[in-house]
Amino acid sequence: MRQSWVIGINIFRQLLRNRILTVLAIFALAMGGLSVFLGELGQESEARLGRDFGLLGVEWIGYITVLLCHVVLLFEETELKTITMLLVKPVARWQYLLGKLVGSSLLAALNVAGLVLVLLLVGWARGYSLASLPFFLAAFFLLWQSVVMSAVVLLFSVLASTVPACVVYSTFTFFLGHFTGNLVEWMAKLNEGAALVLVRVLYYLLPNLAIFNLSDSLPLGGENIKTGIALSAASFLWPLAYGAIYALAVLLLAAWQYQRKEI
Amino acid sequence: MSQPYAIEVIEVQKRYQSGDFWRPIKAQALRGVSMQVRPGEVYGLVGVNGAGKTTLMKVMTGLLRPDQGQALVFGLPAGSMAARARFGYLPELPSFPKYLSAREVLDFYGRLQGMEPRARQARVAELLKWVGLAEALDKPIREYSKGMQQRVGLAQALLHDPELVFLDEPISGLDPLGIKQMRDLFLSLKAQGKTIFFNTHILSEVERLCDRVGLMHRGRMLLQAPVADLASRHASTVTLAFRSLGPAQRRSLKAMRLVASQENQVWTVAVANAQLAPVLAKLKLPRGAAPTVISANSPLETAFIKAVRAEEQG
Amino acid sequence: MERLPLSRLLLIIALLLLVAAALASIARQSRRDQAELPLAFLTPAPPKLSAFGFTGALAGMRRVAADWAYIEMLQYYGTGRNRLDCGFQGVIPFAEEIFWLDPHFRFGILYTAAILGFNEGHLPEAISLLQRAARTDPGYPRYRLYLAGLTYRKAHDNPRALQILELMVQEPDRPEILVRTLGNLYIKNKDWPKVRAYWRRVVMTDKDPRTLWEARLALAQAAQHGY
Repeated sequence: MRQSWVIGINIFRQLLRNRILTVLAIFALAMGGLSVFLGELGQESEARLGRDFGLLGVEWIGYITVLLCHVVLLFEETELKTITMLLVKPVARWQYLLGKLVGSSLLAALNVAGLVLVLLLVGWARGYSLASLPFFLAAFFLLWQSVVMSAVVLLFSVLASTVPACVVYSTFTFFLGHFTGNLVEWMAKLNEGAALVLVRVLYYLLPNLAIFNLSDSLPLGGENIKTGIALSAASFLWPLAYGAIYALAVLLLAAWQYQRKEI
Repeated sequence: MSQPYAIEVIEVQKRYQSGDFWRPIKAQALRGVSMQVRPGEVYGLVGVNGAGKTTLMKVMTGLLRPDQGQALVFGLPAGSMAARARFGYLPELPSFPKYLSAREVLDFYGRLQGMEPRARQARVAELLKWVGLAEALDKPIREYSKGMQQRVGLAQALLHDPELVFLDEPISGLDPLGIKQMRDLFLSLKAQGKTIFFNTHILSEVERLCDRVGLMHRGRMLLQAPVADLASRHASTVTLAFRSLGPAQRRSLKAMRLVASQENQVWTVAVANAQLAPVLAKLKLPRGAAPTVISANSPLETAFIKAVRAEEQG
Repeated sequence: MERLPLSRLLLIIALLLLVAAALASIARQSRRDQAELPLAFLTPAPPKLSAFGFTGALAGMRRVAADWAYIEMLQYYGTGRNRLDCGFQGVIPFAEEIFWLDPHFRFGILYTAAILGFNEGHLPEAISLLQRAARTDPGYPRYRLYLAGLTYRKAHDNPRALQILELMVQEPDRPEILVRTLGNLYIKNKDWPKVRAYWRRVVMTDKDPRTLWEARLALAQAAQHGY
């Protein structure tokens, strides 16, 4: 685990300095600008719009960060062969993969924190406050979703032979993962065998990303929003546990495949 | 022999598969290669591009798993954690994260080797000074020349002071000054008693640096011998080109057991360096008919050309 | 890792995915029990659901989809050209969509109900919306207050409807549109003293540019009538 941490910190440092990731800083600023623009459009509901679209931005910045991280790392591995000197060191290949997950997650955390700060500043400048525990919790769980997606992107980076293939598979899974939560409801309505089997397989294989979206459930506070409903602590534990176990399953598969990969 | 070989390769075979999964293209990269390298030896592996040298080195370092056979490093399975702790590896054209400095890169590798912070810092500084990069150690690697990156690569291979060093085409792509600098570093390593295994297609470096040499061609090990043996058994030769050779001159050559072959109205003859003057004297060439030297082969080149020709013919 | 046979690895992964699926179901159930938003498509969708609304509902982004419908509604209502559309009839599908996507978007529901009921005369639709909202969100008293105002208006009991409106505009965070609605009702009723008093108070306390512009117009009208 220590090796993974060392690798993760190194990856975090090198990606932080990579200019391609400044696009994420621009994204964060653009989200701040969008909050202002939507606030103007939404008039009295500016705080709610800032909160909701801000959290949407948090979800996207988290995903784009981990996607870009793995894309850059995959490019360096396949084209520049930076990996060969590392894999002959006393480091297991699974430790290297875990290190990539750690590094990309750290960068996602930094970017999410940066965007949350931008949103808080925009709110303060516009005369409303986003700073509340439910808001930070919602942002945290979207970050946790990014960690899960990082494991998924990592798996595709191991399975796919090219960068574009990795991007396509990962993004497809990201979109489909938002619909997984509703598959259960559809399953109850399906009688046909083949469709039901397919839906069940998809339900178990795809990540259930709706689990991490607490913004539809949490009382986020502010004008005319219902307050006083508190979800139980267990409601927060289940998504955390789900994310950890799903990411572990995905990592195991990635590690097994990577062990067999010829460098 | 009580001490294990530094490197031992036993009947290793390796096949690459590429192309689409429904129409795979298979290429046999290694065909039953066997070899040994003793501790303290400097071994040079030569061969043309595509001979299988890098594949063999990757098998020895554990980056590739052989389909058949076995590779051992100090008696340990190649690729095992224990084996990895005992060698350093410099790949061909090493590449580093562009935005890190040499110091940061070496510090990172040192952490992976499990080195303690103080020892690591001292060793990094010492190595970067040894390879001549003390002035540039905090610059981002993207500002380094190819030669500088090669030296950083060598430094990372030696970070944990390994007994064995693998070097894959260490002087490929370097300018003459860079080649000289690398050669001096290798000689220094040799003087320290390290076992060095390196791939190259530049025979002159093998002649200068190596104790033993191996020749690979099309995935097979054609020849392995001490450099000194090869030098003594095979003379360096020159190939002469004649615009014309009369029947008398051809008979003289035949009497001296030299074969003249004609192509496009030019006669060529390979002559041992030491025999050049006597041969020219016996040919009694008219004035203005002196031959042109079109190539000169060292003993190693001569040995390898013979071995490759023998393999291709038969 | 290397020595683990594929069959055993797949078994471990399958077990982990099953456990994960079970945890997801528990999380989902606890959310369903306690959450503000019922899960998508458990209630019938409105007939004119936009593509964004449909996708948002499926993808678990219902609040954002409701926000977007609200913005689109404001854009639709904010441009005068839609007035020919039978008095902004197009607001009705927006109202239905907002309510279906996020029945706890109180401000959005109140705003659209105010437009429909007080401004554009679509009283049955406004009352229906508020009644459903009050059933879903029984702890929120403003729905009942707005319902009372609209009920009086429907019964043409303008004095009482005005009384309710006066209560509504005193609420903090009331839709700004109600301020203008009440002020314009005074003008419609030609109650010039009240017009002057009301709109002067608005000019001193309100910050909304459109409201202030209407206030100045109203005060000018009152001045023309000697007040």
